Amino acid sequence: MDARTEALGAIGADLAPVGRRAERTLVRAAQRGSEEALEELFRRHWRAAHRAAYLVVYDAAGAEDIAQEAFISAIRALERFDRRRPFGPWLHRIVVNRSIDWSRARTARREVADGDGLPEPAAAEFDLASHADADRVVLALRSLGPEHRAVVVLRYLLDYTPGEIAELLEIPRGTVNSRLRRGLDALAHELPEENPR
Amino acid sequence: MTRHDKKRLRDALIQAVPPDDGQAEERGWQVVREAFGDHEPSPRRFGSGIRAALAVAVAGLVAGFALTPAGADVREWIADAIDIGEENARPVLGSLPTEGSVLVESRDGVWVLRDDGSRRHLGGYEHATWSPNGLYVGASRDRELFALTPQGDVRWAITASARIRALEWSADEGYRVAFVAGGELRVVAGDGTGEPTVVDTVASRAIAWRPESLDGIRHQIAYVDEFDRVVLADTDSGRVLWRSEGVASEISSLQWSEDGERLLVELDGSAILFDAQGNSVLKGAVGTGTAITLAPAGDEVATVRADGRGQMELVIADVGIAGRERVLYPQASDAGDGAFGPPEFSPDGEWILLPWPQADQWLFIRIADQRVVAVADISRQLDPNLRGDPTFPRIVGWCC
Repeated sequence: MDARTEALGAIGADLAPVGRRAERTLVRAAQRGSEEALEELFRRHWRAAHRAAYLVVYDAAGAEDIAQEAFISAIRALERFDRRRPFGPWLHRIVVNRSIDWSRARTARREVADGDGLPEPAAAEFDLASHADADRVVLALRSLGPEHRAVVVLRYLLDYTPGEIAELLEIPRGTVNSRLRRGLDALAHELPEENPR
Repeated sequence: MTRHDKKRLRDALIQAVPPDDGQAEERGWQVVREAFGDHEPSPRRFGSGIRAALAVAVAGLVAGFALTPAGADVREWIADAIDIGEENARPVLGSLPTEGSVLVESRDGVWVLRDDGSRRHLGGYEHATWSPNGLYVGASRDRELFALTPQGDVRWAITASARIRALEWSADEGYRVAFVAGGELRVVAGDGTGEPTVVDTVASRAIAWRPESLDGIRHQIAYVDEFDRVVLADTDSGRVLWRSEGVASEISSLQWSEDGERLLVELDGSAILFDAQGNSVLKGAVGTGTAITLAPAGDEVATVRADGRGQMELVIADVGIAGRERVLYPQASDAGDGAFGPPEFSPDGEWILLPWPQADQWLFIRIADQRVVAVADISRQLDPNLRGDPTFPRIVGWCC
């Protein structure tokens, strides 16, 4: 298994091994009150949801709250959930929209506090000691606004197409493309050259 | 940003683990479990799966009543009450009206339906695709890509680095299989040997190999790049042959004519026809949510449209002469666009298979005289166990 495969395996959400129960079955069982089914859904989707939130808000406590609240919100709406649709996009929509809202709110709070109320999350918060290049890339991502980060995360972490992102965020597809393009341009500017080997 | 930079970005996002990740997951589960304990589970109710089972039972009753004069009245009463679909539809999917085999994906997996009426369930796969001569079927299951015989035996399998989102066997004799995984278009040899090569990052799952041209050009594939441009590239050399302008909406499919000279690009609500050099030769609006299919010869398209008076029509139109079209199948429907699925041409171009999900029927329509052969109860026939909600099977292709 190469490093990328291993890393993707760690994300987990879309990569359930063959033979595990179908998600539709899990959702139905959870709708009927099965805690076991709920836990399997949770374990399948937590890491991707948590990571996506983290990469949008850049705050560990905030990301944990957002991921938890997204799951709770999903549970409360479980009865209305259409089982023919996949669970992941539904959850990701909640996570990313909440993450954007959270980031906006934090910015507003910071403006009210005139710049001294909330410290920026420390760069060292990332557990990337063994991934120096990844560290630089993720720090470069932080230079973008939350809306742009959200689109980049949906595209490159969660593997949605621009059309799917437009549906998830309920924004025009052209807006998705322009945010992606602007985000990638900014990242290209921020990204340092790789170290020669 | 270069493709390499995008790969760095993707890898970096995957590797970016939030601090205290494992503990956060456990805390999250405790909170979610407690919230779930307060949640009122939904009562069991008659879902559409049960309704479908009842419909099957009713269908069985209808068949029984049909044998008796008294039953005839009941059958008419039920038909009036249901009032959707072709009335004289065959109850069993038997032989196809012309040569070839239909590849189908149902919730139960992938099926091959032969023209002699036999059918084979290949297994729980998705993203099925015919090999050029119908000798093999490509299909995937999560990250695994399989080459199967039409009997369902696995000839080879490879594992991709990410979940496979689209799959297409080359339309020529050149033995290539393209797939989309991790946002990238990759190509592997048709015998499963060698490492998959990355062609480009893509914005859509729509990919289409160009059929071998008269001058023997092979291994060219059309896809949609990151900026919604249609691209034709040579997968052996990596050379881009042409790129279109960016398009404004999601591209749902790319379809080549059999001679590789025309490429139909289907968008949401419209379609563009390109020639092999990337020139746009025709643009037109089609109904939102419907589908358009290029005839094998590339000279006609079949599409479903609403006529504005509560009627849906299957229309076949000449792509060379504006306005030359024929209505093959009109059907009163208040469901609007989306009542029918994408039409599929038979390999000889003489029949169209029109899915009708609302009626749970397939309609085989002969283009020459609009003769209709309807088959009922499609969902159950391709999902015999009928566990839970039925989903209407998707026609992948009608092959040689």
